[in-house]
Amino acid sequence: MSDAILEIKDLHVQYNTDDAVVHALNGLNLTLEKGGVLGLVGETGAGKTTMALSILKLLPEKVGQVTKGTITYNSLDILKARKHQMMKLRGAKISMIFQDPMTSLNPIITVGDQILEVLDLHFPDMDKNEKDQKVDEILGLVGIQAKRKDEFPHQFSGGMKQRIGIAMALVAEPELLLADEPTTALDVTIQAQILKLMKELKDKFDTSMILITHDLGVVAEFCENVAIVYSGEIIEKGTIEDVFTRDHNHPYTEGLFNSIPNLTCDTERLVPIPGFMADPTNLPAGCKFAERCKYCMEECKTHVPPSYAIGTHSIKCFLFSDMEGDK
Amino acid sequence: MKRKNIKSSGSIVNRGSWGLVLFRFRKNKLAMIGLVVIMILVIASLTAPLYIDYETVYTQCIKDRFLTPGTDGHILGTDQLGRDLFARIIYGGRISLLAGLITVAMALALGVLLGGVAGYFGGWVDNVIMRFCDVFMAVPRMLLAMAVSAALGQGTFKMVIALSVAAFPRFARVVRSSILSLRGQEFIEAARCYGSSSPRIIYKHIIPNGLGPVIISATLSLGSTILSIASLGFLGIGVAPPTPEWGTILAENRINIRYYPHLGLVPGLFIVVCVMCLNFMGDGLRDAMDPRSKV
Amino acid sequence: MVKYILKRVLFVIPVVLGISFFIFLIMSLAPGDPAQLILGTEASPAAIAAKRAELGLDDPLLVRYVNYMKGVVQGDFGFSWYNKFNVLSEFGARLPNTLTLGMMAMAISALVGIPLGIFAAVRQNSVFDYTSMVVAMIFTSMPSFWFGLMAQVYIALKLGWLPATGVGSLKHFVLPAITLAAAQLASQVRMTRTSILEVIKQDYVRTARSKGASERRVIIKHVLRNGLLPVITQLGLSFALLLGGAIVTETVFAIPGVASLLISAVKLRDVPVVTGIVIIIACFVGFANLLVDLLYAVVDPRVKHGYLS
Repeated sequence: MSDAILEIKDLHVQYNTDDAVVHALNGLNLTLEKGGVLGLVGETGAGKTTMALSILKLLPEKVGQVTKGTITYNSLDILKARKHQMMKLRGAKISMIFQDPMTSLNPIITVGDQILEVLDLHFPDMDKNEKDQKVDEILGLVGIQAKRKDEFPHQFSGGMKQRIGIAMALVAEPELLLADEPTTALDVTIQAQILKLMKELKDKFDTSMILITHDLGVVAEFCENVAIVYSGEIIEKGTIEDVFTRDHNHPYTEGLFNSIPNLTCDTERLVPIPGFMADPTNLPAGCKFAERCKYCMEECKTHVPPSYAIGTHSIKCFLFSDMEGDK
Repeated sequence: MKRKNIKSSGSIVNRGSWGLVLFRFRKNKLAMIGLVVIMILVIASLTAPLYIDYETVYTQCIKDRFLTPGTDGHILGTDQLGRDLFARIIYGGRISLLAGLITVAMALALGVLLGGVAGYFGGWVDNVIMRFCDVFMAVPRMLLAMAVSAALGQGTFKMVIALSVAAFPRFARVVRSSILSLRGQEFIEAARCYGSSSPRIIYKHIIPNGLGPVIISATLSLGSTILSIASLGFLGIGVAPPTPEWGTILAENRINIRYYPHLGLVPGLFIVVCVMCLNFMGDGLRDAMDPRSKV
Repeated sequence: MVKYILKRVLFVIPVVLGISFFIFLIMSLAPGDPAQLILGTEASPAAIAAKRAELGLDDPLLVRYVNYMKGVVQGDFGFSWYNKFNVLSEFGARLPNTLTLGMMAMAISALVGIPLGIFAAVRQNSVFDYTSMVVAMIFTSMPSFWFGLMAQVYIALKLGWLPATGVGSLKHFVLPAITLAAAQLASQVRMTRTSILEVIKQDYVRTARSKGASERRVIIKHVLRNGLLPVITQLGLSFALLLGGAIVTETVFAIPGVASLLISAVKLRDVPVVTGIVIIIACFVGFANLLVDLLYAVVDPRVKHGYLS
């Protein structure tokens, strides 16, 4: 892909805890085009946050380890990058919005100063007034009155704290934004506001974005592309049309769709996906979805399926092995 | 690995079942060493009359004074009056440990009662009890114990009472905060919903869950109590010479330590090891009961 | 803010009254007849009875307490039963020694303990961390009088580097201050380490890193400012702990301070002296606690706003 801003190839990440080794990412492949908005969907424990932290090299120091694979940002090999290179990227070129706004802000520093810190770090030559102005501007864009910048995080509501987090992430106009479930901790009405805000900012700054969420509805409305994560692998990805309008998706994806109540027709019972995600400390050989899959074949239990692609769409499942033949 | 679940099925024990706690404790090497050493000390103290003739504790033998450890059948040497140091230390240990245990037991009893009532009933009862405890925490513990000692007079048991008075407020606080944090948890409400009465809730839910911090506190408190007893003994308050106690032994031999170091090192070492092992155990218990800490 | 201060002061007063009443109450159990002690052993029973009436010694407990407190409020703590000195002035005369000792010890404990604790936390699980934790553990388990004795014997008497007893110059305070600081230092290191570790785990530290801050900046600007908050405010409370430790230290090193006054008073069961010291110390401690709370309110914006609005 010529215009890819981010390319992740065969990424394996594990957490070395005292009790066991947790295999969080198991061969994750992902590409993001410049200016694209990718929704990363998966349930808790699938590896979504791990992926985001890996991109920024913010995995917990002694515990998190990348064992295989590459992450390339604009032709820079992230995994081989030196500390000072990463420091230059973080906040300025790649920034992150974290999941829990209640704990992501430093309680004893004013919100204005926390946003200002990004500018102090990356634009040391900018003069003070210009920085102050930028802070005021970004606060205005996220819908917070500039005069509140001398207040402390505890004086704001959850939704506003998240907006401050967004302001911090965007003030330096980054090229890539990783939004880790930015609305999960907020209620639905605020969620709509935040998403609308992010859309506007994305358009304004032309930021490439990865939106991590477990909510398919948000993805459908907001993203151009979607990738579905399961047990540390991308099991299906494509454009929204590719994935949402198909008759048959990866069995897991189908299960996700079936779990959502359908407003247009009568349903007596929702169909959940039976079982639990594979134990990351003890992964099965073969396809990780095999034991929950109603279409499971013998082959699935012993071999990891490759990703079969057609055009912009790909599925990691033996059921679709003939897909590539279709044109 | 088998896990023992506590009695009630409905309790969501956020510290894990007792079996898990025991397992984590056993994994902690320091805590286990501490436990073993304390057991040895306790057994040695309890069985002392079996292997040490009580007379040697007080028998003076001037010509045998200041013997170094190992001479003449005196394992740890003799003091300035020729008394066998080993015998005095073991018997001193009996007093220190026993006095310490009784102090903690009494303070615990009072503390659990006050803290329990305060935590469970809340409201003005809680306020009054906490103010009462605040009064006893208004001065440093040593000072309070000494003042009460002054009022009661010399003697080991009176010292125990004085130390208990100084110690109970902390236990009351621990128990109270333990209960307060439990009350907020939903499994108590759940228990009420399916018809549990108050005493039953206390017995089946609050006590098993609330016991943890109290046990930790008691273990650590035992260590600091033994230190206090030794300090008071050294100052000549509480246990009085010639009754052997680790602190009084050090006080008696004070001037001689310069030339006969074993007189200073040995009792001191006993105190340090004993208290340290209790601290290891207390810390080990704390780590074992906290699900978040890595063991 | 003023309301907050007033509220806190109002809390201290009943507590001080409470402890003073308790002490007064239990001291009445101690033997000793002040009237007889004043008049001497040859006094006749009638004279003693008259003196007792004069001093109000047969009044009910509460009356005696109120009269005593009336005196206290005016600075009259009475006279020692056995040594004829004025309690308050003797206390005042000895206070400078104890204060010097205490201040020095606190300085050592803070200036050495806090950096060690920070370092141990930042380098968690390193050799340094484990060693400092073990050493701290040993010192917490050590009776401070033993440490003092050993220091006295080996450093002062055998090596002669520092004076062993008494006061006379600042040098005389060095060994005692180190002894007093030792146990305090150990718990200071542990406490600081725990506090810093708590903060390092927080999400907002990760946020700071994600903004591109260097590890050094993250530690100094984000971790330390939050982590040291409880540590520094606790320094005020450690003052109370030091007072307890001073009791033993003054004995070992023969320093004529408040604590040694207390010890002889306790042994003699000299009621006015013991009562007076307890009340004065209670006021000191109450005041220290108040300062700590105020400091917290000033420094931590969450507390400040809790009480402003």
